[in-house]
Amino acid sequence: MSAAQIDTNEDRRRVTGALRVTPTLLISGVVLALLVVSQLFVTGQFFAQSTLSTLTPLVGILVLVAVGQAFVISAGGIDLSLPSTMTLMGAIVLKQSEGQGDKLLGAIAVCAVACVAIGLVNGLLVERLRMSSLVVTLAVGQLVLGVTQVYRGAVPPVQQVPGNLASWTTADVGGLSIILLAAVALAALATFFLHRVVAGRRLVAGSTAERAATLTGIRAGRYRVAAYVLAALVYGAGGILAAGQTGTPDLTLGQPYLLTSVVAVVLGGAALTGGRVSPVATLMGAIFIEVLDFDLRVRGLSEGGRMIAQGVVLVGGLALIHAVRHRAELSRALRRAGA
Amino acid sequence: MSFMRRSAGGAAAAALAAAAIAGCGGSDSSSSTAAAGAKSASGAAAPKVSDAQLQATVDAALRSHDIKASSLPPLMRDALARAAQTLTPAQLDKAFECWKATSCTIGDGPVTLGHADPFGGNTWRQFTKMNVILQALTHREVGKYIYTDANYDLATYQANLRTMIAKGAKAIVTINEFGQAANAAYAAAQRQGVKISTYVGAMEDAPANSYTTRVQYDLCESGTAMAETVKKVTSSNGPVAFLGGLPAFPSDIKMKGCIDKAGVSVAFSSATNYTAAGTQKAASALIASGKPVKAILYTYANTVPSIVNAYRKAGKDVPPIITSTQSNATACQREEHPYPLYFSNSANWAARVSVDAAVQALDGQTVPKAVIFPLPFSAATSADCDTAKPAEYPGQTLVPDALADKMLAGK
Repeated sequence: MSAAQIDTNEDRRRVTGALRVTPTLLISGVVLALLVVSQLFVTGQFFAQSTLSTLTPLVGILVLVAVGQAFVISAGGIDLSLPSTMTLMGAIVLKQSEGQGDKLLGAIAVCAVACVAIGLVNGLLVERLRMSSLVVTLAVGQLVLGVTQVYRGAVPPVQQVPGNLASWTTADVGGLSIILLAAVALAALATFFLHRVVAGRRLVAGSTAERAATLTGIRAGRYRVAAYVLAALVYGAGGILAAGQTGTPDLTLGQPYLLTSVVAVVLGGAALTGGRVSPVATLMGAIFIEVLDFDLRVRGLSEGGRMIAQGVVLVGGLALIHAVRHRAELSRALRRAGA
Repeated sequence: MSFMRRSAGGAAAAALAAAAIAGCGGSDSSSSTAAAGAKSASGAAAPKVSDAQLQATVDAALRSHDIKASSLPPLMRDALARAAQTLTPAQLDKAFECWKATSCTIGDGPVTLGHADPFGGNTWRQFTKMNVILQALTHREVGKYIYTDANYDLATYQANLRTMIAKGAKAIVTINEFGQAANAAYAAAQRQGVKISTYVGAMEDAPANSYTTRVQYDLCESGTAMAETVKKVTSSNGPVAFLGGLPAFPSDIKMKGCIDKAGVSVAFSSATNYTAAGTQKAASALIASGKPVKAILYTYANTVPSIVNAYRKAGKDVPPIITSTQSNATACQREEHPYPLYFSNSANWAARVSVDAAVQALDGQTVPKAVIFPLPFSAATSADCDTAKPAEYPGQTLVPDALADKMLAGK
């Protein structure tokens, strides 16, 4: 091969590398397309304040908890204690604050302690005792729900969150909910942490290749446990914000977020067997899920119709992500088949 | 054979009954109810309350002054007559003790009454539980009370039923929220001689052998009442938005059909899963759809604030909202920013009718297969907002105020 040919090949690689289709790019493109479809064909008022102000809080909460779930999925696990953790936060906010704004900080501190405890239990049981994350987090979720019911009492005397929490969580900037803005900031921070901070990169190493990380001297086990603790703290934040958004959190507070959080992470290109996750891609996955559901509701599809449509889109999306991830193998297979 | 005659603690039971009757408010003999001292349609001796007391209880239960006690099904009338009795402090203490427990001894009677709750985790459920206990206290044949909470899990619910039966429950009251899936468990219990009586849940399509008595409101009548309220409030036939609870919930489908038959068109419908988030999603989609609905019809008052918040956030006027059940938070939110709001009663008391049906059936008395009660809608007023009560407080529950205060104190 001549020097000119080598230069041409390197130029080609540089160009295709710049245009490399990653799951993040793919899901971002799909979300953009969906937003355009929403505005042009579903409701001409998608970007109006009236729509954004009611839709973006829900998107924000899902983004938050999905980013938390992403930490666990990156370690090859899955966290089914998410709904219970969120629901417990609602109960703690009510009981500890007694509906008073000046006691809110104390309530949040108690929430944080509870989240750390839940995350530690999950993490230690899964990582130290090598138990199935599915079983552990399901059991811990039941335990947390039971604790919540006992702690909350049969009829809580205080059933409304403090006014300052309600005000903050229902505020918006130009129609965009403060919750969504906070969630976007968290996703950006998480991305920075995972890519630019030593602890974050060790977390990634410990999650994606535990054995290799251990051999290089990284205490992978500790970082994997930390993933569960971080996730629980993020669920806790989501639970507090959901409680403020609702105003009167009850035992169903966390219910809508379990499966959707997992789907958001997977749509963001993550593999359920573990590996790298992109908080930004997860954010896009969460936006996709909520906007799709919103569009189908606006169009008046029945619940059954919405589930079918969502299932088709999700399967298609996952197939596309899989194809993008394994495009080299697929193209080789196609070439062999063609030959 | 009557359980009252067989009861080993007959003296204590008689004392309890005497105390209950003695605790009645004074009755004007000139206006004593026809039921006083006479047999009710079900054959049991009805408690002595005056016509006025009974009517007041009916008005409170149904949240309406338009329905005469005499027009109600006899079993329901008798049950509300029992509810109108004034209980002694000792009985109220016993009720509170039982309410805090999952099982307790109510009296000396031989009957164990089971209360299988699919979900106990909200205020409506807890006040329903108290209604069951209070009603059981008026039956001297009831000795024990067992309560279970299945946390919305069908397998747990079925296991709870079996456990109750194993513990000797022969009369079980429950609300069926699992549809056909629960009917098999009910039928199995009935085959073992247990009397199952359901309250509130739609059971008209359930096999006859799966229950003794179903106590529920007439779904179609309720839908028609909603439609009539729409016509009255908006001076039009819609269009309206209908928000249901669970997706494809048969009760909601039936109700919507009757709303349509009554001449009110439904332009938008969505399920909320009875959660605040689900309600907000539904409201958000409704607003974005741009459909000019004249009213919103819903089946669960507790999450109405999410609808109102969505409209306010969107800068739009809140349309009239007509909803089944009642909620303190919804009423108080309306006080801050008024809009037309219509509630029905919360029907916690329906479980009382179920208690009577199950206990009387066990006693060998004839009880009706169905007790269908009306569910009228009436405008929310300032009186519906009680800032001293918590958000989920479901309005008039037929639980004595002193007892309700204790329940709400979180003790």
